[in-house]
Amino acid sequence: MKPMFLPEVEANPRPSPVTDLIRIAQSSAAEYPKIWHLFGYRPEATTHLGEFTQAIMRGDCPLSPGIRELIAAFTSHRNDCPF
Amino acid sequence: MPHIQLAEGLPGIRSLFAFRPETARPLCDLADVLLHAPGTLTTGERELIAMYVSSQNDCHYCQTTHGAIAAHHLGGNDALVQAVKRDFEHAEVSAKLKALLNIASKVQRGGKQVQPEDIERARREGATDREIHDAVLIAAAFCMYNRYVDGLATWAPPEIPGYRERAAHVAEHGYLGIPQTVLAQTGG
Amino acid sequence: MEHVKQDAETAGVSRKLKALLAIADKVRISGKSVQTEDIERSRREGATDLEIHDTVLIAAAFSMYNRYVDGLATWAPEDPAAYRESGARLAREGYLESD
Repeated sequence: MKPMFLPEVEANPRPSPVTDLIRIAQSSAAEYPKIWHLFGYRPEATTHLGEFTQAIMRGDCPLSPGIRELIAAFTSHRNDCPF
Repeated sequence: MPHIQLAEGLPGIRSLFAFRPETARPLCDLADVLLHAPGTLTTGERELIAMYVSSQNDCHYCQTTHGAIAAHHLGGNDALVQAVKRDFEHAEVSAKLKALLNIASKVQRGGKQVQPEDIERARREGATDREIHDAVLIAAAFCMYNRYVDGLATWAPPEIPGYRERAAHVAEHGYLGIPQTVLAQTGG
Repeated sequence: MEHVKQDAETAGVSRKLKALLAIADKVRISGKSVQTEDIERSRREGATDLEIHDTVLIAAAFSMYNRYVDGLATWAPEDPAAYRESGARLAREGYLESD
């Protein structure tokens, strides 16, 4: 796995639920999506990202969650972002 | 003319907050954490990054409002805001902020445009990992806000009514109260 | 899913969804790329204001996420198997962190 640009983000000193996931993956030398480090680095910001994403992707809407995920995946694919 | 039915009299993103309160709250919370909460980058510096990205995305509402908020933080220095918008490399801001604006301009074009050299330049000018991270996230977030505002063609006349007063209020108090203010204005 | 990513216009999805994906693709480029004709097409296929709004906001949000992730060189596994479990968990539990 390649290192992220910012070592401090990757070292992630902040405790959070996602930090536990990272430690488990690291201890078993498994590959894992490094976006988990982004979510653990500034929980006070990423909490709101999570709430927003939950609201738009799972909140009341005539479009089903599956359709909404499709829109998200399509946009990301077109932005050349495989994650 | 907005693409969907929005409350009249509310400019830009405020009309969207009235339309969809469920997403308004976390969007304002995010803006508050990124732009107003304490940090090593000043509020003026962070608002300049938001303004600059919005101008690169040609979003009139966002660049005007965040430019006004930045100017308020910078003692009313509209001229500096305009100078950063025109040519930040030659504006009277710190070398560190120029390096972060460079990173923000790359993020605006696309995440993969950010190169190791851009990060190294910011580090040489004294930016911490936290400051670089925040510049990237502010730039990315404004690529969202700008698309949201313009993608639905919200109302934003050349001279947006009341924007300076609102800018002063946001500069002082932050973004957390905006959803309630908007609901009160629509009688919700 | 792969078919949709390759060509939204011809894949076997509803006409309304195709129209919404076309809007999302415009939003991805820029907010101002969305034209009245794109909106009118989606309305002809039955899209409501709320569906159009949410499509724009989702495309805008992922334009943010894609930049955040790539701007910090966040490595992502290429093997789809690495995502199956987190995808299933997201489908069950959503995006909020559990307390």
